Amino acid sequence: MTGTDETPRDITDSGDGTDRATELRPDGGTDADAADEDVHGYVPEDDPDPKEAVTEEQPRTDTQDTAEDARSGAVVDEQVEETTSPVIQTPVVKTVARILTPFVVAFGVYLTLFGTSLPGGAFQGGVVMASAIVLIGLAFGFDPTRQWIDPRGLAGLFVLGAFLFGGIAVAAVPLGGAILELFVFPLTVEDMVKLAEVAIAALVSGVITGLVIWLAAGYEKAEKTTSKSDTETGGDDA
Amino acid sequence: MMWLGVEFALILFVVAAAVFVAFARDIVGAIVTFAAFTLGIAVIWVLLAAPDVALIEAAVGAGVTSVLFLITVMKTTGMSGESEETGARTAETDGGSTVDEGGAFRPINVPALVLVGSLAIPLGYVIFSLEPVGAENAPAVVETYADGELTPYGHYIENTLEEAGFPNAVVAVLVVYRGLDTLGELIVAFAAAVSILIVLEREDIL
Repeated sequence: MTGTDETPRDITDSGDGTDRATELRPDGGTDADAADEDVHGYVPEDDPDPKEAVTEEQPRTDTQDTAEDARSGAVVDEQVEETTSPVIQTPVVKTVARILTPFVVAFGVYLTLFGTSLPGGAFQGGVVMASAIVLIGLAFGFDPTRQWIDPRGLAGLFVLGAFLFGGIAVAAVPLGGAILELFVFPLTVEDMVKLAEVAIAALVSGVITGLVIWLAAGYEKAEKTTSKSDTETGGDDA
Repeated sequence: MMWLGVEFALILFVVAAAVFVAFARDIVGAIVTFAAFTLGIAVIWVLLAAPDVALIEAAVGAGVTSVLFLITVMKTTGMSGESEETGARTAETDGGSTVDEGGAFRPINVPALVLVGSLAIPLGYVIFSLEPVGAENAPAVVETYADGELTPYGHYIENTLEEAGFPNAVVAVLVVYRGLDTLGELIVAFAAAVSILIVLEREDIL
């Protein structure tokens, strides 16, 4: 695999032979400039005409954005929108996601409920259910997915899971057992384990879905606010 | 004998994928290869009769972790053009004399190599000193000590069905025998979710 990959690389290297010759020059300044010109898509900070390059080039840190903002605000806004736009927009992926998602969720429920007697369990089931949402997010874009999911419902999912499992743990004490002693409940141990599994699966699926959805959304709320409110929140944290 | 061939092919695939991930200059390609690598590991878990671990490995490792990597790349360098830019920066920092900046692979990072080696050599020593999988006196398979007392493994295997009423000993250990550990895990996961909401300043949805 690596051997076959190295052959085209050598070909492209021989094409860039002049580039390497310029880089071997002793002075560092022209050296860097030559590399910048030759490599497609890379634009140094002091480029006089950054407009075309910015649309091609995705990477922008916050400081770079503010630095560019003084020069060309419209381009930077377009850049930000592009960064938060859906990842993959092909009909193949969309169709596959649309068909697969019900089965993935059903498989997650199956793993959760029948993990007591078959391979599986609540952690597996919860993660599989969450991966269905992640699949939707990949296919249709994370922003529409985040708007489609009620954040209160998502937070309620893992809050419900935590309180259900904690409730089972604590409820064993007034029934005469130690914490999480499942033998003292009127239900059988298997049923209590299934109840606990539902709690674990709800928490895990909520946490993983929220992790991906909210991290994909990122820090945009703070980006939209001005720098004044940023310092205010910083002061509140301190 | 057939499974031996399948296992060797899988191990070859996994090692090749890992090497590619370490040296590939195209970050998105490396992430996709990482997902394939994790999927190979998951199939190896299935062949080693650990389907519970395989499920977690496939869902978390190949699914969620890869998507988190993709999101990170999307948020930082962008989905397109990052390979060329990384190449240019490497060429700048290294002086461009030894680095072939147009190549598909990164040069070997010596400090990282030393770090990985110092981790991999002890791990490899431990792995090769273990009993082979399925050996009669492998620690994970021994059900009783020499004096006839049950090992922890033997205890769970022998008693799960009658004490808990269901056969999956992994779930029994997680919820019935070691429920407090699971409670702690859930607290960690819950705290992680709440921390994300706080760090991203989205705690107002609660």
